[in-house]
Amino acid sequence: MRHRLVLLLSAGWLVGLAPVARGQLSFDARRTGMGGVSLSRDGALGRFNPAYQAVPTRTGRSAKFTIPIPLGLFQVLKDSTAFDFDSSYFNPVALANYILHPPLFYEVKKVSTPTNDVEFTIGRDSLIVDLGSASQLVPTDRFGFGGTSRLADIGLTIKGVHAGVLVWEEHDVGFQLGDTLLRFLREQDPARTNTTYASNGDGVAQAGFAPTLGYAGRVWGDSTRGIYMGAAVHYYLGVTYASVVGTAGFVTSDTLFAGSNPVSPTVDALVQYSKPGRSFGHGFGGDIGVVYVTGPVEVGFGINDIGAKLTWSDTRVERDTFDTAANNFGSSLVADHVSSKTKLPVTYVANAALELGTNTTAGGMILNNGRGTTIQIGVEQRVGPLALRGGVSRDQRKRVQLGWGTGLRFGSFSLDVGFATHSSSLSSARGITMASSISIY
Amino acid sequence: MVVTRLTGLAAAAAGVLLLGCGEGRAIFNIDVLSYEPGLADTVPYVVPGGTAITGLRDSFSLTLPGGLGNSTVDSVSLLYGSTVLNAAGSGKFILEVFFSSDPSAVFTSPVSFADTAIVAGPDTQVIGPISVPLFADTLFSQNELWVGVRGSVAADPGPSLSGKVVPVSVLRLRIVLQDKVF
Repeated sequence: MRHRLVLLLSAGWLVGLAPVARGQLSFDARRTGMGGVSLSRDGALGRFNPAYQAVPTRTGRSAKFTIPIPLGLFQVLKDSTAFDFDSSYFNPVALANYILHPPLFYEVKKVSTPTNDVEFTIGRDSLIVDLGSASQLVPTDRFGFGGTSRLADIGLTIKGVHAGVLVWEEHDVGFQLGDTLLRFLREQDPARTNTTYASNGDGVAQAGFAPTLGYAGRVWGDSTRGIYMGAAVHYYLGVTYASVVGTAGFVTSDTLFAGSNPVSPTVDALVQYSKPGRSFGHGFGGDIGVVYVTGPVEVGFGINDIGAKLTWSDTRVERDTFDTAANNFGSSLVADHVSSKTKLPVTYVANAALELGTNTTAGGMILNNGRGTTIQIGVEQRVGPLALRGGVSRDQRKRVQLGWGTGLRFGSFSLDVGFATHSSSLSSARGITMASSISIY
Repeated sequence: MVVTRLTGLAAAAAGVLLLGCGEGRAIFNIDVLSYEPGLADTVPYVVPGGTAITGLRDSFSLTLPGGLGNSTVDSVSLLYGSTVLNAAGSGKFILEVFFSSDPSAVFTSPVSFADTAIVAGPDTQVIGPISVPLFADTLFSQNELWVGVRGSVAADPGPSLSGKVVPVSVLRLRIVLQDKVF
């Protein structure tokens, strides 16, 4: 059971991360050591700025490919007791942390998971919950995760003109606890009679493919000083989508713990979906980007998914509620075969890089993918075969993170190690990840 | 027999919140008396010498938060107290508390506790409040827990025993579980 769960999780992470990693996360320890910045005109730059398709790679800096050394997976297997439902050490918080921060790389400093006692004080007309330090896990603001991925881009490029088809997916899930439930869970506020304790939730997931026509090329100057521009138009065809908006919780009655049914669950959600097999969603969108290179200086700006709004002509709309009398969930049809719209979040990226001429390269990047802005600044100093790296970043939760690392280059190979702090867990505590990878140039 | 249910909110809270405690324990402090406040009412008694009566016999149920059936009961303790205001005669007041999962066998359950106050003449005797450990039976991790309370008065041979008693002034359960909600 335990190993099956670990395998499932691992497979999920790999499937989920493979496309994301190319664009936002990195399997590259060099980037990890510089706070996430890429100095090699790949990663997020190539993903979000189409002009980079035409900018030549920096000599000796861009790897043909990078192989991560997934030491973190061994760590997960070692800790897998925490995922064993049959074990008294089963720890859903640790499980959630692994989902929020996929453990491809080794965690030098793990984010601690509270293992304190939880105390319930119960009377006929009172209930107080003391979660102890675990109360800090209760999110006070909207909590969720999401991302847009281009899973594949298959096509042909001739003289800067690219024609192809890209496969895309977008998901965004979030919830926010209501005030009464938040106080009850975090502040040991006694439960009250005739009160609703609920949380608001919303989510959307959509996927499809998009025939694409684009161009990227140098529009002015030469290879040492020039302006590069890129643009692409996508005709989005959505294969399937689902969205849900609603509230879920419970309502207390006149007395908390008396009578046959003192508390009633309450669920009210509006669900819209278009299953595969129904009519595709349709919509246009585009990407645009520009890069200016002059000697050691490079500046770029790109926007993705401009105006990407899909119209789904064959949507089913249902209202899901909890039937207290029947004690089960019920679903009622609101409308079928109706039109609905979804959109893909617009992503912006701005970057700059500077070769200082002393084997030092510095760079910075600002990325907003519709779910908050990240800022990354990093520097690399090369001394013979040795590279020393450092960086600082601000993550989507507006927390400052640090990165540092080193690497050794042996001809066409390099072995790199990067360390980075992160707050990708349920609690606000920081962890430290050690990334390691081999690059082949 | 009174049926009191402890459902819904505690169950929902426990079901959700136990997720947060990992290797930690779930501790339930239950004010049992609040479910049956009549147990704290003063009961007068007059018992002829050499006889005994059961002045109080009550049972009621608590429905504990669900999903804890696989949890290990770490420890259980009972805090209880009562007061005897004896006016005349000598004898004893016996307080018994039972716990069972079977409503038809509450007062024969082996999971029980008893304490005695001995009185002689005009006298006030206080039992407790004192906390005593109970056998950590698996019934304390089940959804439904039946509580039985019995108060008896036995007069010594001779003059009648008379007075008043507050059978239960405090009755609280502390159940400590090594939680395992799946």
